[in-house]
Amino acid sequence: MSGEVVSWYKDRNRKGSLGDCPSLRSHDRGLLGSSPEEKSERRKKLRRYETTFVIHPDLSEEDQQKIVQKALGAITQSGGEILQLQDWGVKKLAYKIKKQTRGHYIFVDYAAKPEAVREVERLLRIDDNVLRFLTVLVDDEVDVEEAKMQLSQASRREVEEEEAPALETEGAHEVEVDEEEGEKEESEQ
Amino acid sequence: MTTPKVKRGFGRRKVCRFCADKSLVIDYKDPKTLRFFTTERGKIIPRRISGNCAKHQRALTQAIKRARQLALMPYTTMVL
Repeated sequence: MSGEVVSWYKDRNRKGSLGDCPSLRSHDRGLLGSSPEEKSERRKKLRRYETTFVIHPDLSEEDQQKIVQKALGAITQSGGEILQLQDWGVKKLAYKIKKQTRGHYIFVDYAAKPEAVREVERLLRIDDNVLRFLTVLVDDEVDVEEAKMQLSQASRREVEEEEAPALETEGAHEVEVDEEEGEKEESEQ
Repeated sequence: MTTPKVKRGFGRRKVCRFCADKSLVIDYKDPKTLRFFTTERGKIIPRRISGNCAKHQRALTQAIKRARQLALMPYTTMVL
């Protein structure tokens, strides 16, 4: 036992929890249930989730929006943040769900607290026009600003690649080959 | 190395596709890639056949099962 631990033990009648013991590793602290402050801190932290849901393909634009907005509202109301909202459109289902062969896929990437997920899933479960939903925990912690930055950069890169590539790659390739050949010749000489 | 029953060409060792090609990501939202690792009926191809490493096979089955829930991939299909 290190000195630190001994002094902690001698002082054992003081107030405080076992979680303060210096010899405990962070893992053990987690098992103890930790102090109320730590708990509340963990509750404050946002986690990154992805929810994909399939809605009825024959719904009007308006009704679709209503469902999406309801889900998004549940996230933002509890202090969550939407990072990405994708509409994959109507796709063919691999098997029938509620007698439907097609489904409209919506994908949401967001940062939220666990309670928010429960609420979103509850809302989706209630709605008869939602055929299927799946929530996946992507990351235990998110830096919302950083995630947004990365996403915007990625989308910008995609746009650039779409515009530029065809012309550039052809031209660049030829130049590269020429240079290599030139170097070889020089070295041979 | 020597298998008595099956004749096998030398040096046909299978390599995990995901280890060999780092740009290949396992994602449940991408059924096109996942389809490579299922049979026509939709069953997940075992590791001993596909040659995937344990780590990637685990991630792969997870992804396929998620894709199945979302009806992006079939649980099973009748083959005619």
